[in-house]
Amino acid sequence: VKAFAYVNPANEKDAVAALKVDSGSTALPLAGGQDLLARMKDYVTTPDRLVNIKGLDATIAATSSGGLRIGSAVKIVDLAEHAQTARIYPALIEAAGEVGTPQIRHQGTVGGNINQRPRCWYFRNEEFACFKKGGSRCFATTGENQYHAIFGNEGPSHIVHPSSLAVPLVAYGATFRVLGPNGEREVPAAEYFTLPNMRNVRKENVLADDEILTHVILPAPGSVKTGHYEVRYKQSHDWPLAMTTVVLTMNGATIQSARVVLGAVAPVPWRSKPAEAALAGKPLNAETAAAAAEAAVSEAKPMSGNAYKVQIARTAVKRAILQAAGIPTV
Amino acid sequence: VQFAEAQVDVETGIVKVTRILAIQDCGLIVDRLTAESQAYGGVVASINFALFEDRLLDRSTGQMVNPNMEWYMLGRHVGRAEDRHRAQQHAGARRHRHRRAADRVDGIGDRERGRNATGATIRSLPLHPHKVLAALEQERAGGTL
Repeated sequence: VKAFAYVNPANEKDAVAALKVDSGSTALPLAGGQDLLARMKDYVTTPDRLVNIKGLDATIAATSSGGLRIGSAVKIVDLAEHAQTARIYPALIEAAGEVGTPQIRHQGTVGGNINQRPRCWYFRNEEFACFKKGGSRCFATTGENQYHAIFGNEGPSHIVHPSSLAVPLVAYGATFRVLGPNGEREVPAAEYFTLPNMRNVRKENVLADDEILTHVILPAPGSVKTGHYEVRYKQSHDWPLAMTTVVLTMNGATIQSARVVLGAVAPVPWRSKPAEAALAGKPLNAETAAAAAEAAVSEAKPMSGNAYKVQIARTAVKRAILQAAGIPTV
Repeated sequence: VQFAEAQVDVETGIVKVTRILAIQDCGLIVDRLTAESQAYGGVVASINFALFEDRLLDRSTGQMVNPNMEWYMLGRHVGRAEDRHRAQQHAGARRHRHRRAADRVDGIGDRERGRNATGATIRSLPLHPHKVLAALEQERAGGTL
C-alpha cells in the first residue's frame, strides 16, 4: 500500500473539509474499507489522504412521513437485521442479507455498498489502464466480458454497477442526502448513478470528490407488493449474475403501476420501462410475470461473451414478480 | 465408487450438488480422522473442479483476469453438499490416495450424468451457467452429439 495520511474528523462537516486537497493529490473517505482497502493493496487506487467517516450517522430512524432515514455508516448487517425495515421494505432486507459474506456485512456500510467501485477484473487489475483509471480503452469490449453489462452498453465503459442495495433503493424511490462544502443536497437514487460518457467515466455517480453520502431517505411505500430475486452461481460470497427488485402498487388484484429495477446487468441500477409498462393494468399472476420478463430483456444488447446473462436476467425479473405474487418461483 | 446427486435450474443454468456418496477402499486405516479428511478433501476438490475452478486468461494479453479469490471460484461452506463419510477398516494394504477430480467428477460433470439431469450434453467443465444454458438451448433446437 502506498503511504497515506489519515484524518479522523469530529463530525460530517469536518469530514467534508478534510476531503479538500490540492489539485494533483487525492483524498478519499474510509468507512468499512471493504472495497477501498482492497483497491489500495492492489495499487488500483492510491490516495494521499484517507478521511475516516465511520463516525457518520449509523442509525435507522422513522421519518414523519412514514418512511425511514438510514445513516450511511449503518453496517449492512444491522440493516439486514432491522425489524422495522423488514416490515416496510422487505426487498431491501433481502438484498442486504445477501451482500458478500457475514464478515463483509459486519464491516461494510450502507454508504460503502452504494459507493463501491466496479468489480470489473480489468479495472481491478493494475496492469490494465482502462477508462476508469484514466486510460484510453475498455478492455472488456474485446476481452473477457462474461460478467459485464447487457444493458446500457453504449460505452465507453461496460461495467455492471456492483451495489446490491442500490437496486431496491431505486425501486423504492429512495433519495440520497449528500453533504459538500456548499452544504447539503438531496438526489433521487435513480439520478444518483450515471451511465458512462467520456467526461464522467472515472466515476459511477454524481458525488463530487469533496462530497459524502450521509443518509438514505426512503419514502413510505404505500400499498405495494414487492419481490426481490438474485441469481448467483455460488450460494455465498459471489456477485450476482443478475438481480431484480419489483415494487408493485396495487389496486385490488390489479397492478396499478410498477417499478422494475435490475442489478448486475448495466453500469447503473437498470430501471426497465418496458417491463413496467407490461405490468401496469394487468392482474398479478404467472402469465403477467412471464410477459414482463420478456419485455424487460427486449432492449438487452449483450456483448460477445455474455448473451447467457439475458436468460438469467429474464428469470430474475420473472421470479421477482412471482415472489411478489406469492407464487413459488421454482 | 462415487455417486453424486445434482440439481440443475434450467432457467438459470445453475447447478447445485446436493449429495455425494464416496466409497473408498482404504486398506489399513491408521488414523480414522486423517482417512476421513482425505476423502472429504477429495470430494470438495471434485466439486470445485466440476462446478467452479477456471483460470481465465485475457485473450489479448494472456494476463489472468481472475487471479484472486473473488473471481477464481471455489465452493464455500453453504455451497457444499451435505457429506457424510465413514471410513471402514479393511484388510489389505492398498494405499488410501487423495483421489481428486477425475474420480468424482464422473458423478457431477460427466456428460452422461449431465444428460440425466437436464437431457442435454455438456462437454466441458466447469459447468458454468453459460455452458449449461447453451447446451439446453441446443437440446431444444434438436439436440447434438
